[in-house]
Amino acid sequence: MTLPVRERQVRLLADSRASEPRARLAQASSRAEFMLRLSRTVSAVQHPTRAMEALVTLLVEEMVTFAQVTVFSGIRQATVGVVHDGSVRTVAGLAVDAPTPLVDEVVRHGVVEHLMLAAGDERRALVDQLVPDPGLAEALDALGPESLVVLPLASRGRSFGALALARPPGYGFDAGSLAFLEDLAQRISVALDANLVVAESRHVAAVLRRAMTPARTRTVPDLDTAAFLRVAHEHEELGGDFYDVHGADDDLTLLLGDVAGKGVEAAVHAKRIRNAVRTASHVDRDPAWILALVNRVLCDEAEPDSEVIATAVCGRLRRVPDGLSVELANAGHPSPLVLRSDGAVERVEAGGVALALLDGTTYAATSVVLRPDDTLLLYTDGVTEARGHRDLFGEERLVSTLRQAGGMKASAVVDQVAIAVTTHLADRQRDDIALVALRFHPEQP
Amino acid sequence: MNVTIDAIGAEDVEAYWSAVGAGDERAARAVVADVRRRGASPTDVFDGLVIPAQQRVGQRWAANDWTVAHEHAATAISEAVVLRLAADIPDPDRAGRPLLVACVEREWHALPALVVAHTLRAGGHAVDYLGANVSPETVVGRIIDAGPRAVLVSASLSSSLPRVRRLVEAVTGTGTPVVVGGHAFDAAGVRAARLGATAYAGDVATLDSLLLDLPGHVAPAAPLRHPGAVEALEILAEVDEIGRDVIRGSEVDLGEAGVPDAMAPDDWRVVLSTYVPHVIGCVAGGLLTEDPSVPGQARTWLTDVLALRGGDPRAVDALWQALATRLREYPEAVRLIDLA
Ligand code: B12
Repeated sequence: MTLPVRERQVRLLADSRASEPRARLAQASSRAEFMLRLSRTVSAVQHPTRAMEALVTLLVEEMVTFAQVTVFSGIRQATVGVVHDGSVRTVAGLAVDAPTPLVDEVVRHGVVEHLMLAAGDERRALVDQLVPDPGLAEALDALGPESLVVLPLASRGRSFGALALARPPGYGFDAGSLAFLEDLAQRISVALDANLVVAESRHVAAVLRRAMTPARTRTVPDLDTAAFLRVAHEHEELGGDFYDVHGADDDLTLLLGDVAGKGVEAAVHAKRIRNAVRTASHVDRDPAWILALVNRVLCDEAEPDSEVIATAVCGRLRRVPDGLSVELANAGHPSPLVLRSDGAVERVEAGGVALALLDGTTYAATSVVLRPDDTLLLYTDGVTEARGHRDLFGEERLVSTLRQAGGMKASAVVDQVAIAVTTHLADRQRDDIALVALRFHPEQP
Repeated sequence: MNVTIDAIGAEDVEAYWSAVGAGDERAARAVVADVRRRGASPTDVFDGLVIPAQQRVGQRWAANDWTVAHEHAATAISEAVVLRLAADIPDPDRAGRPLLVACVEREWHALPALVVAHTLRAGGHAVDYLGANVSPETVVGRIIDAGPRAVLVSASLSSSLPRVRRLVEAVTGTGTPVVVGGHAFDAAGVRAARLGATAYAGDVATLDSLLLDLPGHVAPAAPLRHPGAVEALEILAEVDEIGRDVIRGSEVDLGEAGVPDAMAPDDWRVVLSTYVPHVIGCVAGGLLTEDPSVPGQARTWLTDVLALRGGDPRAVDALWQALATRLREYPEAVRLIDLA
């Protein structure tokens, strides 16, 4: 079987020693151009496995008939390969536990392997030593390559993978093209390594984020809840606003607060406060007592160089004969609002000093009763202090938005406020924003 | 689009519609449970009950029968219904590379994207749904984490077109294909193509067949260098100032400081003034896509809406005039406004 090999596929690796200077120059410049394109492609595709796919695809489009890349790095171990026989292409992505023997050798020794292949069983055996995907191995064997090159991928002093290439029958790798390929492998290594580093640090951040971000709004019978949380530092995906609900269905603790500062550091402190509240609530769910205890803990633990100041509202929700009783204690936080089912809005005032400011602070709880379809709204100052063209969003706009939403589903209440706030903000910079609505919506009113 | 589905009859459609109108989630769920028992699939419910009801929601508001708040309450019911049905759709066994579904930043019409996401899941695709109002940073972050096959962007507002462009730049910059859809686009997909999207799809069926031919890797969207594109960015940079001046300049009596907060939120003057930033966004969207029908459609719609609210019919002309005057330093914008 002769393969219809496209001219450009041959040109990049052609032996140019005997050609005239003009042809050599042309080849050098198309090699340089290709190298640039390849490293750009790999860097642009920021997901490692996708980048590997883009890489092998480009290689078989422009230069070889088979390309396979293997990467062993931290959380990621994968092999992606493709053959090009003019019409069919197979991309096989494989998560592997151990590299194939040939790849392993190249990774360990860090030197290029250039293998001559004799036709028959021997070739197939060699191919199997290289290609973990049986379908791809078969396709490669069927192409009948006369030689294979396996190049190590190394960066920052460690080799982390290998790139294997084959050309169509009748074409081999001469010294000139091998030198070019080594250059190419180096470029690819740098671009892939950068990808892997980003992916790994995002993985670490994601684990942190899962531990740190507020719990998903938990479902509680007769309680319809919705939340809107937006962080100021979008790329960190972590912020200082926090929210939590826990306890038994008929005796819940509710917490919403705001740690001064933004980003990861604020998120770490927010997590500490949430934990402290959870622990305290196992002893007693009285919100005033919980805040006083948490304040003491924070004052005790305060380190001289890190000033953690936070505001928070803590609440306790219990069923009473005529509705849902809400007891709220407030540590320097914007007052929660109650939206009655008819659209009336009430502020729940309960004054108190912010957390971690003064040792020995005490708090007093205020209570309200939610009737069916009344809604409790808790928010952080990112809402009222959202900067507009002329002024801050303010409590007045918040209240007038809420008046339209009496009795509605919690998600409709939250959406309306979130739309009003983000429209007011337009593209201006924002603080962390948190907004939580809880509607008392009993099955039997 | 009116789909006929065997298990869903006209009475069901009406019963669902009145439940949604009354903001009664339990009644809506009861209708859904009923048609489900008669064999309707989750996607049948999307097509046969949810989408038709949402179309009527829009008509009710336009006709001044409903307030914006009422529209919200009704949409929240449909959304809850879709979320509930989504739980009945099993996740695909073969967890391939996901499709990422998102609305652009400040696009709050989330239900279209939600329906698209769960219809795709019902078709056996792995889907990662990010919801309304998603920033390019968040989308790129998810691309790095999940390496999606493609990003699917939903935009309902034509004024979102400039933000669609920003997202297209961010996504194609990572080599990931981006398919767009929603009411912000024209059915022929011209606007989508001008913004550099990999493809446009009007519905999930079209999208499904299109996914097969989608390239695995795309080049970064080519920069938009036509004069209108430059003007669009400049106009967006001062949208607040332009909006304020246009409201003043249109000599519509909106009271002292623009809109008095005391005025009813669905009063025609409030509608007009809150619609101004959307109109400016449509002008910018029209400039980016070189499509005068973008602000043109906004004008037609505004005219109809104000008429049904007993608004002064000259107000829209005055607004357009004020806009042309305010944007006189932008020749492409003026040309586009005149065409509209
Ligand atoms: C409900 C609604 C609202 C609610 C949204 C509440 C919420 N939380 O979602 C509220 C009240 C907030 C609202 C506000 C506004 N809205 Co509105 N709204 C609607 C309405 C009536 C229904 C939207 C909906 O739920 N559709 C249900 C879904 C399932 O259907 P769909 O949109 O047709 O989506 C299908 C296809 O389009 C497609 N599709 C959609 N996205 C994608 C993506 C991909 C990749 C693919 C393949 C397919 C696809 O598949 C979907 C499923 O079949 C529409 C009118 C309408 N008939 O759709 C107007 C509409 C979207 N709104 C409109 C406008 C102008 C506004 C406002 C600017 C003014 C106003 N007061 O109405 C504000 C802007 C607010 C803001 N800042 O975002 C216009 C947009 C026109 C335009 N092109 O610019 C519309 C089209 C009404 C109209 N006829 O003019 N709105």
